[in-house]
Amino acid sequence: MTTSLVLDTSTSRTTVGIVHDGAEIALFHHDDPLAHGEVLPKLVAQALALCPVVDEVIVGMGPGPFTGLRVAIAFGQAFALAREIPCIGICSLDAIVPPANITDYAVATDARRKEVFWARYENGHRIGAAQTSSPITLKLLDIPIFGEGAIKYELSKAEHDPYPQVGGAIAAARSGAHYSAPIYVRRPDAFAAPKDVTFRPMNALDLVTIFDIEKRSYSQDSWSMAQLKEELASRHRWYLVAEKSGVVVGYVGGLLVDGVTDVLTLTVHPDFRRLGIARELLRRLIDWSRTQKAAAMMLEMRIGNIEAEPLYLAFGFVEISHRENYYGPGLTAIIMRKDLT
Amino acid sequence: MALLISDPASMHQWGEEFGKQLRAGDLIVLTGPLGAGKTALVQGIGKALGIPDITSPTFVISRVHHAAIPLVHVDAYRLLDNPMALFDDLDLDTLLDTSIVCIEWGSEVVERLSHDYLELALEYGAGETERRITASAHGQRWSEFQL
Repeated sequence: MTTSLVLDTSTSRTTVGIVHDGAEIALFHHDDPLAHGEVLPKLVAQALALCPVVDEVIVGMGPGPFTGLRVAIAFGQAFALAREIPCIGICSLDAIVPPANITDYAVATDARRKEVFWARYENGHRIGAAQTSSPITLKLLDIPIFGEGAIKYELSKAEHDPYPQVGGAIAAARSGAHYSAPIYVRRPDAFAAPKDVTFRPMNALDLVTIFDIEKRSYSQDSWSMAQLKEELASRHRWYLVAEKSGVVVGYVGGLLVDGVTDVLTLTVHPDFRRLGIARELLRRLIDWSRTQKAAAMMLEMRIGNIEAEPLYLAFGFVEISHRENYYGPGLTAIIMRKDLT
Repeated sequence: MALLISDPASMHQWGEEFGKQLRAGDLIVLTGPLGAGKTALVQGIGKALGIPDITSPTFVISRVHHAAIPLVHVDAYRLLDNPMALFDDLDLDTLLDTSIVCIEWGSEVVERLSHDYLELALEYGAGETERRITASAHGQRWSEFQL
Protein backbone atom coordinates (compact mmCIF):
# COMPACT_ATOMS: atom_id res chain seq x y z
CA MET A 1 0.00 0.00 0.00
CA THR A 2 2.33 2.69 -1.27
CA THR A 3 1.41 6.30 -1.92
CA SER A 4 3.59 7.84 -4.63
CA LEU A 5 4.12 11.43 -5.67
CA VAL A 6 4.95 11.48 -9.40
CA LEU A 7 6.71 14.46 -11.00
CA ASP A 8 7.87 15.04 -14.57
CA THR A 9 9.11 18.16 -16.40
CA SER A 10 10.88 16.48 -19.30
CA THR A 11 8.46 17.75 -21.95
CA SER A 12 6.55 21.01 -22.45
CA ARG A 13 4.06 19.66 -19.90
CA THR A 14 4.52 19.80 -16.14
CA THR A 15 2.97 16.63 -14.71
CA VAL A 16 2.14 16.05 -11.05
CA GLY A 17 0.17 13.15 -9.62
CA ILE A 18 -0.41 11.15 -6.47
CA VAL A 19 -1.20 7.47 -6.78
CA HIS A 20 -2.27 5.30 -3.88
CA ASP A 21 -2.13 1.57 -4.46
CA GLY A 22 -2.82 1.88 -8.18
CA ALA A 23 -5.55 4.52 -7.85
CA GLU A 24 -4.89 8.05 -9.10
CA ILE A 25 -5.85 10.33 -6.22
CA ALA A 26 -4.58 13.60 -7.64
CA LEU A 27 -3.64 14.50 -11.18
CA PHE A 28 -2.53 17.93 -12.32
CA HIS A 29 -0.73 19.22 -15.35
CA HIS A 30 0.15 22.49 -17.05
CA ASP A 31 1.33 22.98 -20.62
CA ASP A 32 4.02 25.63 -21.06
CA PRO A 33 7.61 24.83 -21.97
CA LEU A 34 8.88 27.87 -20.06
CA ALA A 35 6.87 27.62 -16.84
CA HIS A 36 8.04 24.41 -15.14
CA GLY A 37 9.73 26.30 -12.34
CA GLU A 38 6.76 28.51 -11.49
CA VAL A 39 4.11 25.85 -11.95
CA LEU A 40 5.51 22.72 -10.33
CA PRO A 41 5.40 23.83 -6.65
CA LYS A 42 1.82 25.07 -7.11
CA LEU A 43 0.67 21.78 -8.65
CA VAL A 44 2.40 19.80 -5.92
CA ALA A 45 0.69 21.95 -3.27
CA GLN A 46 -2.68 21.26 -4.91
CA ALA A 47 -1.97 17.52 -5.01
CA LEU A 48 -0.79 17.41 -1.39
CA ALA A 49 -3.95 19.23 -0.33
CA LEU A 50 -5.84 16.16 -1.54
CA CYS A 51 -3.40 13.66 -0.04
CA PRO A 52 -0.85 15.07 2.41
CA VAL A 53 1.11 11.90 3.20
CA VAL A 54 3.23 10.19 0.52
CA ASP A 55 5.71 7.33 0.90
CA GLU A 56 7.94 7.93 -2.10
CA VAL A 57 8.70 10.32 -4.93
CA ILE A 58 8.95 9.09 -8.53
CA VAL A 59 10.54 11.61 -10.84
CA GLY A 60 11.20 11.59 -14.59
CA MET A 61 14.96 11.92 -15.18
CA GLY A 62 14.62 12.74 -18.86
CA PRO A 63 15.92 12.92 -21.46
CA GLY A 64 14.63 16.46 -21.81
CA PRO A 65 15.65 20.10 -22.27
CA PHE A 66 18.36 21.00 -19.79
CA THR A 67 16.73 23.53 -17.50
CA GLY A 68 13.11 22.41 -17.47
CA LEU A 69 14.08 18.79 -16.87
CA ARG A 70 15.99 19.68 -13.74
CA VAL A 71 13.10 21.51 -12.15
CA ALA A 72 11.26 18.31 -11.23
CA ILE A 73 14.45 16.43 -10.40
CA ALA A 74 15.73 19.06 -7.98
CA PHE A 75 12.28 19.54 -6.49
CA GLY A 76 11.66 15.82 -6.12
CA GLN A 77 15.03 15.09 -4.55
CA ALA A 78 14.70 17.98 -2.09
CA PHE A 79 11.14 17.01 -1.20
CA ALA A 80 12.15 13.39 -0.61
CA LEU A 81 15.06 14.50 1.53
CA ALA A 82 12.87 16.73 3.67
CA ARG A 83 10.20 14.04 4.10
CA GLU A 84 12.82 11.30 4.61
CA ILE A 85 11.28 9.15 1.88
CA PRO A 86 12.95 7.56 -1.16
CA CYS A 87 13.19 9.32 -4.53
CA ILE A 88 13.11 7.01 -7.53
CA GLY A 89 14.34 8.31 -10.88
CA ILE A 90 12.89 6.81 -14.05
CA CYS A 91 13.41 7.33 -17.77
CA SER A 92 10.67 9.78 -18.79
CA LEU A 93 10.21 8.04 -22.14
CA ASP A 94 9.15 4.90 -20.23
CA ALA A 95 6.25 6.88 -18.75
CA ILE A 96 4.73 7.68 -22.14
CA VAL A 97 2.03 5.10 -22.66
CA PRO A 98 1.09 3.76 -26.12
CA PRO A 99 -2.55 3.03 -27.02
CA ALA A 100 -3.88 -0.29 -25.74
CA ASN A 101 -2.63 -3.51 -27.33
CA ILE A 102 0.46 -1.94 -28.91
CA THR A 103 3.61 -3.49 -27.47
CA ASP A 104 6.21 -2.87 -30.21
CA TYR A 105 6.71 0.85 -30.74
CA ALA A 106 9.00 3.83 -30.28
CA VAL A 107 8.59 6.92 -28.13
CA ALA A 108 9.95 10.30 -29.28
CA THR A 109 9.95 13.58 -27.38
CA ASP A 110 10.98 16.98 -28.72
CA ALA A 111 14.71 17.58 -28.29
CA ARG A 112 14.46 20.90 -30.20
CA ARG A 113 16.93 21.93 -32.88
CA LYS A 114 15.06 19.60 -35.24
CA GLU A 115 15.89 16.52 -33.22
CA VAL A 116 14.04 14.06 -31.03
CA PHE A 117 14.91 12.11 -27.90
CA TRP A 118 13.69 8.59 -28.44
CA ALA A 119 13.77 4.96 -27.43
CA ARG A 120 12.40 1.75 -28.84
CA TYR A 121 10.16 -0.74 -27.06
CA GLU A 122 9.50 -4.43 -27.69
CA ASN A 123 6.87 -6.38 -25.77
CA GLY A 124 6.38 -3.19 -23.76
CA HIS A 125 10.00 -3.08 -22.60
CA ARG A 126 12.60 -0.56 -23.66
CA ILE A 127 15.34 -1.90 -25.93
CA GLY A 128 18.59 -0.02 -25.27
CA ALA A 129 19.18 3.46 -23.93
CA ALA A 130 17.48 6.70 -24.92
CA GLN A 131 19.19 8.53 -27.78
CA THR A 132 19.07 11.69 -29.87
CA SER A 133 18.38 11.58 -33.62
CA SER A 134 16.93 13.48 -36.49
CA PRO A 135 13.22 12.69 -36.93
CA ILE A 136 14.06 11.41 -40.43
CA THR A 137 15.88 8.48 -38.83
CA LEU A 138 12.71 7.47 -37.02
CA LYS A 139 10.64 7.60 -40.19
CA LEU A 140 12.71 4.64 -41.36
CA LEU A 141 11.50 2.54 -38.43
CA ASP A 142 8.56 0.44 -39.46
CA ILE A 143 6.81 0.70 -36.11
CA PRO A 144 4.30 3.13 -34.58
CA ILE A 145 5.83 6.13 -32.83
CA PHE A 146 4.28 8.06 -29.95
CA GLY A 147 5.06 11.16 -27.93
CA GLU A 148 5.34 14.92 -28.33
CA GLY A 149 8.19 14.54 -30.85
CA ALA A 150 6.17 12.12 -32.94
CA ILE A 151 3.34 14.63 -33.20
CA LYS A 152 5.57 17.64 -33.90
CA TYR A 153 7.36 15.87 -36.74
CA GLU A 154 4.26 14.03 -37.98
CA LEU A 155 5.71 10.62 -37.26
CA SER A 156 2.43 9.43 -35.79
CA LYS A 157 -1.12 9.40 -37.06
CA ALA A 158 -2.57 7.55 -34.08
CA GLU A 159 -4.55 9.36 -31.41
CA HIS A 160 -2.69 9.14 -28.14
CA ASP A 161 -1.58 11.05 -25.05
CA PRO A 162 1.91 12.24 -26.03
CA TYR A 163 3.07 13.20 -22.52
CA PRO A 164 4.52 11.17 -19.66
CA GLN A 165 1.67 9.70 -17.64
CA VAL A 166 1.46 9.14 -13.93
CA GLY A 167 0.43 5.51 -14.38
CA GLY A 168 3.25 4.96 -16.85
CA ALA A 169 5.72 6.44 -14.38
CA ILE A 170 4.54 4.09 -11.62
CA ALA A 171 4.92 1.10 -13.95
CA ALA A 172 8.40 2.25 -14.95
CA ALA A 173 9.42 2.66 -11.31
CA ARG A 174 8.25 -0.89 -10.52
CA SER A 175 9.67 -2.71 -13.51
CA GLY A 176 12.07 -0.43 -15.40
CA ALA A 177 15.57 0.84 -14.75
CA HIS A 178 16.18 3.45 -12.04
CA TYR A 179 18.36 6.50 -12.60
CA SER A 180 20.14 8.66 -10.03
CA ALA A 181 21.30 11.38 -12.44
CA PRO A 182 19.51 13.24 -15.25
CA ILE A 183 19.54 11.29 -18.51
CA TYR A 184 21.51 13.51 -20.82
CA VAL A 185 22.00 11.91 -24.20
CA ARG A 186 23.32 14.88 -26.10
CA ARG A 187 26.62 15.67 -24.39
CA PRO A 188 29.60 14.46 -26.39
CA ASP A 189 31.96 12.62 -24.07
CA ALA A 190 34.71 15.20 -23.84
CA PHE A 191 37.00 14.72 -20.88
CA ALA A 192 36.01 12.98 -17.69
CA ALA A 193 36.66 15.31 -14.76
CA PRO A 194 39.28 13.97 -12.34
CA LYS A 195 37.67 11.88 -9.61
CA ASP A 196 37.31 13.16 -6.04
CA VAL A 197 39.14 16.37 -6.91
CA THR A 198 37.77 19.75 -5.87
CA PHE A 199 39.01 23.24 -6.63
CA ARG A 200 39.09 26.42 -4.57
CA PRO A 201 41.10 29.66 -4.34
CA MET A 202 44.46 29.37 -2.59
CA ASN A 203 44.88 30.81 0.89
CA ALA A 204 47.79 31.32 3.26
CA LEU A 205 47.15 28.04 5.08
CA ASP A 206 47.97 26.16 1.86
CA LEU A 207 51.49 27.55 1.57
CA VAL A 208 53.26 24.86 3.63
CA THR A 209 51.84 22.11 1.41
CA ILE A 210 52.51 24.11 -1.73
CA PHE A 211 56.11 24.73 -0.67
CA ASP A 212 56.50 20.98 -0.31
CA ILE A 213 55.05 20.33 -3.80
CA GLU A 214 57.30 23.07 -5.21
CA LYS A 215 60.41 21.37 -3.81
CA ARG A 216 59.35 17.97 -5.04
CA SER A 217 58.64 19.33 -8.51
CA TYR A 218 61.38 21.89 -9.13
CA SER A 219 64.04 21.13 -6.42
CA GLN A 220 66.51 24.03 -6.36
CA ASP A 221 64.47 26.09 -8.85
CA SER A 222 61.38 26.09 -6.62
CA TRP A 223 59.86 29.26 -5.23
CA SER A 224 60.91 30.11 -1.68
CA MET A 225 58.36 30.48 1.09
CA ALA A 226 58.89 34.25 0.97
CA GLN A 227 58.21 34.31 -2.78
CA LEU A 228 55.07 32.23 -2.34
CA LYS A 229 53.75 34.58 0.36
CA GLU A 230 54.48 37.59 -1.81
CA GLU A 231 52.78 36.01 -4.80
CA LEU A 232 49.65 35.24 -2.83
CA ALA A 233 49.46 38.78 -1.48
CA SER A 234 50.05 40.52 -4.81
CA ARG A 235 47.38 42.10 -6.93
CA HIS A 236 46.05 41.04 -10.35
CA ARG A 237 46.87 37.42 -9.54
CA TRP A 238 44.61 34.43 -9.24
CA TYR A 239 45.73 31.24 -7.55
CA LEU A 240 43.63 28.12 -7.50
CA VAL A 241 44.36 24.84 -5.69
CA ALA A 242 43.19 21.31 -6.46
CA GLU A 243 42.38 19.11 -3.48
CA LYS A 244 42.10 15.36 -3.55
CA SER A 245 40.45 13.88 -0.47
CA GLY A 246 40.97 17.18 1.33
CA VAL A 247 44.71 17.45 0.61
CA VAL A 248 46.17 20.04 -1.76
CA VAL A 249 47.81 18.18 -4.65
CA GLY A 250 48.18 20.89 -7.30
CA TYR A 251 47.80 24.57 -8.11
CA VAL A 252 47.75 27.08 -10.91
CA GLY A 253 48.47 30.80 -10.84
CA GLY A 254 47.85 33.59 -13.32
CA LEU A 255 48.77 37.26 -13.52
CA LEU A 256 46.54 39.51 -15.57
CA VAL A 257 48.14 42.64 -16.99
CA ASP A 258 46.92 44.66 -19.96
CA GLY A 259 44.43 42.05 -21.02
CA VAL A 260 46.91 39.18 -21.08
CA THR A 261 47.05 36.41 -18.50
CA ASP A 262 50.55 35.17 -17.77
CA VAL A 263 50.47 31.60 -16.51
CA LEU A 264 52.81 31.92 -13.51
CA THR A 265 52.75 28.30 -12.44
CA LEU A 266 50.93 25.05 -13.12
CA THR A 267 52.11 22.34 -10.77
CA VAL A 268 50.80 18.96 -9.66
CA HIS A 269 52.36 16.81 -6.93
CA PRO A 270 54.47 14.08 -8.62
CA ASP A 271 52.33 11.33 -7.04
CA PHE A 272 49.13 12.77 -8.52
CA ARG A 273 50.08 13.44 -12.13
CA ARG A 274 48.36 11.96 -15.18
CA LEU A 275 44.97 12.15 -13.47
CA GLY A 276 43.74 15.15 -15.45
CA ILE A 277 44.28 17.57 -12.57
CA ALA A 278 46.59 19.93 -14.48
CA ARG A 279 44.19 19.99 -17.41
CA GLU A 280 41.33 20.98 -15.14
CA LEU A 281 43.43 23.65 -13.39
CA LEU A 282 44.46 25.15 -16.72
CA ARG A 283 40.91 24.99 -18.03
CA ARG A 284 39.76 26.96 -15.00
CA LEU A 285 42.51 29.55 -15.43
CA ILE A 286 41.43 30.01 -19.06
CA ASP A 287 37.84 30.42 -17.90
CA TRP A 288 38.88 32.95 -15.24
CA SER A 289 40.80 34.88 -17.91
CA ARG A 290 37.69 34.99 -20.06
CA THR A 291 35.58 36.31 -17.19
CA GLN A 292 38.18 39.07 -16.82
CA LYS A 293 37.90 39.75 -20.58
CA ALA A 294 41.52 38.88 -21.20
CA ALA A 295 42.36 38.77 -24.91
CA ALA A 296 45.24 36.29 -24.67
CA MET A 297 47.33 34.08 -22.41
CA MET A 298 51.09 33.64 -22.31
CA LEU A 299 53.41 31.19 -20.62
CA GLU A 300 57.03 30.18 -20.51
CA MET A 301 57.95 26.52 -20.63
CA ARG A 302 61.33 24.89 -20.43
CA ILE A 303 62.23 23.39 -23.78
CA GLY A 304 61.79 19.65 -23.72
CA ASN A 305 59.12 19.61 -21.01
CA ILE A 306 57.38 16.63 -22.55
CA GLU A 307 54.90 16.36 -19.68
CA ALA A 308 53.46 19.86 -20.05
CA GLU A 309 53.76 20.56 -23.76
CA PRO A 310 50.93 18.31 -25.04
CA LEU A 311 48.57 19.90 -22.53
CA TYR A 312 49.36 23.41 -23.70
CA LEU A 313 49.09 22.41 -27.34
CA ALA A 314 45.75 20.74 -26.68
CA PHE A 315 44.41 24.00 -25.27
CA GLY A 316 45.57 25.92 -28.34
CA PHE A 317 48.78 27.49 -27.05
CA VAL A 318 51.29 28.06 -29.86
CA GLU A 319 55.01 28.69 -29.66
CA ILE A 320 55.85 32.31 -30.49
CA SER A 321 59.49 32.68 -29.46
CA HIS A 322 62.48 31.30 -27.53
CA ARG A 323 64.49 32.76 -24.68
CA GLU A 324 67.99 31.32 -24.44
CA ASN A 325 69.33 30.54 -20.95
CA TYR A 326 66.04 31.65 -19.37
CA TYR A 327 66.09 28.88 -16.80
CA GLY A 328 69.89 28.93 -16.38
CA PRO A 329 72.88 28.22 -18.62
CA GLY A 330 71.83 26.15 -21.61
CA LEU A 331 68.19 25.99 -20.53
CA THR A 332 65.97 27.57 -23.14
CA ALA A 333 62.42 28.72 -22.50
CA ILE A 334 59.70 28.43 -25.09
CA ILE A 335 57.21 31.30 -25.00
CA MET A 336 53.71 30.14 -25.84
CA ARG A 337 50.60 32.18 -26.48
CA LYS A 338 46.92 31.45 -26.77
CA ASP A 339 44.52 33.99 -28.23
CA LEU A 340 41.20 34.03 -26.47
CA THR A 341 39.33 36.12 -29.03
CA MET B 1 26.45 47.32 -45.98
CA ALA B 2 28.59 49.18 -43.46
CA LEU B 3 28.13 52.33 -41.42
CA LEU B 4 30.38 54.46 -39.25
CA ILE B 5 29.74 55.21 -35.59
CA SER B 6 31.71 58.07 -34.06
CA ASP B 7 31.69 57.27 -30.31
CA PRO B 8 30.08 55.06 -27.59
CA ALA B 9 27.10 57.42 -27.17
CA SER B 10 26.34 57.13 -30.89
CA MET B 11 26.66 53.36 -30.67
CA HIS B 12 24.11 53.38 -27.87
CA GLN B 13 21.82 55.61 -29.93
CA TRP B 14 22.17 53.49 -33.04
CA GLY B 15 21.33 50.41 -30.96
CA GLU B 16 18.17 52.15 -29.76
CA GLU B 17 17.00 52.97 -33.29
CA PHE B 18 17.82 49.45 -34.37
CA GLY B 19 16.09 47.97 -31.31
CA LYS B 20 12.82 49.74 -32.13
CA GLN B 21 12.44 47.56 -35.22
CA LEU B 22 13.03 44.25 -33.44
CA ARG B 23 10.29 41.83 -32.52
CA ALA B 24 9.97 38.56 -30.64
CA GLY B 25 11.86 35.75 -32.32
CA ASP B 26 14.65 37.96 -33.66
CA LEU B 27 18.15 36.63 -33.25
CA ILE B 28 21.14 38.99 -33.39
CA VAL B 29 24.78 37.96 -33.35
CA LEU B 30 27.42 40.52 -32.43
CA THR B 31 31.03 39.97 -33.38
CA GLY B 32 34.11 42.11 -32.96
CA PRO B 33 37.15 42.45 -30.71
CA LEU B 34 37.07 43.30 -27.00
CA GLY B 35 36.05 46.92 -26.53
CA ALA B 36 34.42 47.22 -29.95
CA GLY B 37 31.11 48.29 -28.41
CA LYS B 38 29.03 45.11 -28.48
CA THR B 39 27.63 45.63 -25.00
CA ALA B 40 26.98 49.35 -25.68
CA LEU B 41 24.96 48.36 -28.71
CA VAL B 42 22.90 45.86 -26.70
CA GLN B 43 22.33 48.55 -24.06
CA GLY B 44 20.85 50.70 -26.81
CA ILE B 45 18.59 47.87 -27.90
CA GLY B 46 17.58 47.48 -24.26
CA LYS B 47 16.64 51.15 -24.05
CA ALA B 48 14.31 50.71 -27.03
CA LEU B 49 12.65 47.82 -25.20
CA GLY B 50 12.36 49.71 -21.91
CA ILE B 51 15.18 47.83 -20.19
CA PRO B 52 17.48 50.35 -18.47
CA ASP B 53 20.02 48.27 -16.59
CA ILE B 54 21.92 46.06 -19.02
CA THR B 55 25.41 45.05 -17.91
CA SER B 56 27.80 42.61 -19.52
CA PRO B 57 26.75 39.01 -18.90
CA THR B 58 30.31 37.68 -19.34
CA PHE B 59 30.40 36.07 -15.91
CA VAL B 60 26.89 34.62 -15.91
CA ILE B 61 27.00 33.96 -19.70
CA SER B 62 23.28 34.57 -20.21
CA ARG B 63 20.80 36.96 -18.68
CA VAL B 64 17.07 37.33 -19.37
CA HIS B 65 15.72 40.88 -19.08
CA HIS B 66 11.97 40.86 -18.57
CA ALA B 67 9.98 43.40 -20.56
CA ALA B 68 7.00 43.50 -22.94
CA ILE B 69 9.31 41.64 -25.28
CA PRO B 70 11.97 39.94 -23.15
CA LEU B 71 15.60 40.48 -24.16
CA VAL B 72 17.99 37.57 -23.74
CA HIS B 73 21.56 38.86 -23.63
CA VAL B 74 24.25 36.21 -24.01
CA ASP B 75 28.02 36.56 -23.90
CA ALA B 76 29.52 33.38 -25.31
CA TYR B 77 33.12 34.50 -24.65
CA ARG B 78 33.54 32.02 -21.80
CA LEU B 79 32.14 29.23 -23.93
CA LEU B 80 34.61 29.51 -26.78
CA ASP B 81 36.97 26.85 -25.36
CA ASN B 82 34.17 24.60 -24.22
CA PRO B 83 32.09 21.82 -25.73
CA MET B 84 28.98 22.97 -27.59
CA ALA B 85 26.91 21.12 -25.01
CA LEU B 86 27.46 24.00 -22.60
CA PHE B 87 25.82 26.33 -25.11
CA ASP B 88 22.95 23.89 -25.55
CA ASP B 89 22.47 23.94 -21.77
CA LEU B 90 21.37 27.58 -21.97
CA ASP B 91 18.14 26.35 -23.58
CA LEU B 92 18.05 29.43 -25.77
CA ASP B 93 15.83 27.67 -28.29
CA THR B 94 13.12 27.64 -25.63
CA LEU B 95 13.32 31.39 -25.26
CA LEU B 96 13.78 32.33 -28.88
CA ASP B 97 10.13 32.21 -29.94
CA THR B 98 9.02 34.78 -27.39
CA SER B 99 12.14 36.92 -26.94
CA ILE B 100 14.76 38.94 -28.74
CA VAL B 101 18.07 37.11 -28.38
CA CYS B 102 21.42 38.96 -28.70
CA ILE B 103 24.56 36.86 -28.57
CA GLU B 104 27.99 38.42 -28.23
CA TRP B 105 30.82 36.21 -29.55
CA GLY B 106 28.11 34.01 -31.00
CA SER B 107 29.22 33.43 -34.59
CA GLU B 108 30.33 29.85 -33.92
CA VAL B 109 27.18 28.82 -32.09
CA VAL B 110 24.34 30.73 -33.73
CA GLU B 111 23.65 28.16 -36.45
CA ARG B 112 22.70 25.70 -33.72
CA LEU B 113 19.75 27.92 -32.89
CA SER B 114 18.41 29.15 -36.20
CA HIS B 115 19.31 29.85 -39.80
CA ASP B 116 17.46 33.14 -39.57
CA TYR B 117 19.61 35.75 -37.85
CA LEU B 118 21.32 39.10 -38.34
CA GLU B 119 25.04 39.35 -37.82
CA LEU B 120 26.46 42.73 -36.78
CA ALA B 121 30.24 42.85 -37.10
CA LEU B 122 31.82 45.69 -35.12
CA GLU B 123 35.30 46.87 -36.03
CA TYR B 124 37.63 49.61 -34.89
CA GLY B 125 37.57 52.64 -37.19
CA ALA B 126 40.19 55.28 -37.96
CA GLY B 127 39.75 57.40 -34.83
CA GLU B 128 40.08 56.08 -31.30
CA THR B 129 36.33 56.01 -30.62
CA GLU B 130 35.20 55.35 -34.18
CA ARG B 131 33.61 52.01 -35.00
CA ARG B 132 32.34 50.42 -38.18
CA ILE B 133 29.26 48.19 -38.19
CA THR B 134 28.79 45.70 -40.99
CA ALA B 135 25.49 43.87 -41.12
CA SER B 136 24.94 40.57 -42.85
CA ALA B 137 21.51 39.05 -43.03
CA HIS B 138 20.85 35.32 -42.88
CA GLY B 139 17.34 34.12 -43.67
CA GLN B 140 14.14 35.84 -44.82
CA ARG B 141 13.38 38.04 -41.84
CA TRP B 142 15.72 40.94 -42.60
CA SER B 143 14.76 41.95 -46.14
CA GLU B 144 12.65 44.99 -45.15
CA PHE B 145 14.88 45.99 -42.26
CA GLN B 146 16.13 49.60 -42.05
CA LEU B 147 19.74 49.85 -40.91
